[in-house]
Amino acid sequence: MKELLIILMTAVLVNNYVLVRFLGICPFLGVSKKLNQAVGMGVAVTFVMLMATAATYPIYTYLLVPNGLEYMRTIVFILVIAALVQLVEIILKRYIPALHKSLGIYLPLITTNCAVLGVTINNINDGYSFIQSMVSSLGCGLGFLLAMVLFAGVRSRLEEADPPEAFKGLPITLVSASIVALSFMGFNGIIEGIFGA
Amino acid sequence: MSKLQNFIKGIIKENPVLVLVLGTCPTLATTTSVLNALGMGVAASAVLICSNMAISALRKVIPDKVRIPCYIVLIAGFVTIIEMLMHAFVPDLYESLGVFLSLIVVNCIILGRAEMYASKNGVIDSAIDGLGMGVGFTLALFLMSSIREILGSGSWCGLSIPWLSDNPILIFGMAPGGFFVFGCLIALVNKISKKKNNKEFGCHNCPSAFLCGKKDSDPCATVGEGDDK
Amino acid sequence: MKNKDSLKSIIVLVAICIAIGAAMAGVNMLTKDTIAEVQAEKEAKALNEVVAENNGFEKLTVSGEIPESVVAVYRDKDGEGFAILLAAKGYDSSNPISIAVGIKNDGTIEKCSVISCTGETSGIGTKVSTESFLSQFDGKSDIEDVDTISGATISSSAFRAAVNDAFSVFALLSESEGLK
Repeated sequence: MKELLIILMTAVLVNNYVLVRFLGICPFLGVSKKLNQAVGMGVAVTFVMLMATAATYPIYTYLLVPNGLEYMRTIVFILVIAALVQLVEIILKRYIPALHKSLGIYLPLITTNCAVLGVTINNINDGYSFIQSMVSSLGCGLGFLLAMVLFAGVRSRLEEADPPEAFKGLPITLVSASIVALSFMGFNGIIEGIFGA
Repeated sequence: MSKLQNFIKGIIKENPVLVLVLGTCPTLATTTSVLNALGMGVAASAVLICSNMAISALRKVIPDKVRIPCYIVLIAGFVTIIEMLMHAFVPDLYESLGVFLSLIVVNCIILGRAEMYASKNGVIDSAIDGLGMGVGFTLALFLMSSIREILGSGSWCGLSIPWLSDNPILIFGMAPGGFFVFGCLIALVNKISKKKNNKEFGCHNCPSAFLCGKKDSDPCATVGEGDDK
Repeated sequence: MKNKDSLKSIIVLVAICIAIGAAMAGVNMLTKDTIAEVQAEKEAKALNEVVAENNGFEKLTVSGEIPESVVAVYRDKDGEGFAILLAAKGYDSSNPISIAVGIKNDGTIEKCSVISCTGETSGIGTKVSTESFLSQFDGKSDIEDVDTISGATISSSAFRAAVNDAFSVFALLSESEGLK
């Protein structure tokens, strides 16, 4: 249990996918302008990350490794994720239209999101078990959500700021992302502090 | 457009990183040192050229309906091949690029060029387009990694610089430094080009837009609001 | 007409999958041996570095509770010492620091060496591969008075913990091999 908590906390705070490991920057910069969109995207990414890990982990362990096909990992994973996203969208549309209405628009964008492919590959590289992989995916998704929500808050203030002409738009957004990333550096070592590991 | 212009446009006018703002993840993540950045640039360029050529050659065969899965399979195949070659012949670089090598698959630049250019143009033109974009990507990475390595670890291409190497500004090598340098570079490009296009992350440069097919509705449209395109 | 289109789509997609799959399998066959060779060469070099006077190595299987970080244990064929390969989880847990530790029969470290530390922050965590950090371990039989690097605490304490794991493997070995 303690170990799982450590994995979760590490993924959310210390190794935050967006702000520390630079994965999933596109949606982070693109869909963080309004809080409700940021939340929607974050929840959708978390959901797809969990689904993708649940699907790719068994495929890798029980299908690719026994047949010596580890090198097919990237191609199989991306196809599984793409198919999964389509499937989730169809199912949501048919059976839970309310949820589809709020999350559906973000789903297709997630297919080519490097955070999702990244989390499935990293879980394999880390040598995690199935449960650990699921927890780590949950952590990465929550970390993504946290970064999105925090940054949406920062950006709503940014709207009123008046930076130099050349910095308007994307540059000032990146510079403020830099400051948010700086604050996340404060979490370095927090795991050792809490769990005494 | 002449072949030369076609090549040059990827480097300057449509530089994928600094002007179109594509492929931000590897740009931020692999620019801690110049050698890493060059490795990433060359690997991505190789994939881009191969995939552009293959997709262009197959453009009449691939049915419209399944074109995206076909592109993804082709790109993922080339990425894996490049990965294996790098693992065999430049193992150090392979290790230091780590997961970002596999993630070339989902690099917006490659799928974007496949959809926007290679699927409509001939093999040679597509190869030149890929080469131009690849060189543009590599140059942008080179520029950014030079700044970050010189300031962040006081060295350049692994050669240490006197005085600076004793007083490195470590933060430039870390995540916040990446965002900061990238922001400043784009601001610089804005200043030089003197165009008043307040660059935003919108659907016009998001290659995933054709996947969602909802260009005119949210979330893309609202994200790109105030955009002049 | 619609069915014909779908059929064509499926055939093309499958054909592309097969072609790319074949190409990947081909490249894999060509590079597999080189990759294994490079890996073996790198390990051999590290082993020679940490146990300088050796007559080749043999791989040992250690029984008992082996720490998670231990990758492989080798013994010098002359029986002069052990070389232990470890993976220390530093800054990037999916790209650990790869370490070789040479321990003499009397339980002191002959030398430590970093095989790769590409997951660490360049210029900060990578300081674990500097001579001034590594030489601290020479001749030690515990890690008590080894300092971590200030500013690179994560990487250097991961390294320190891994060396400690090497000592616990050595303790297991000396029990089973009956050294002193």
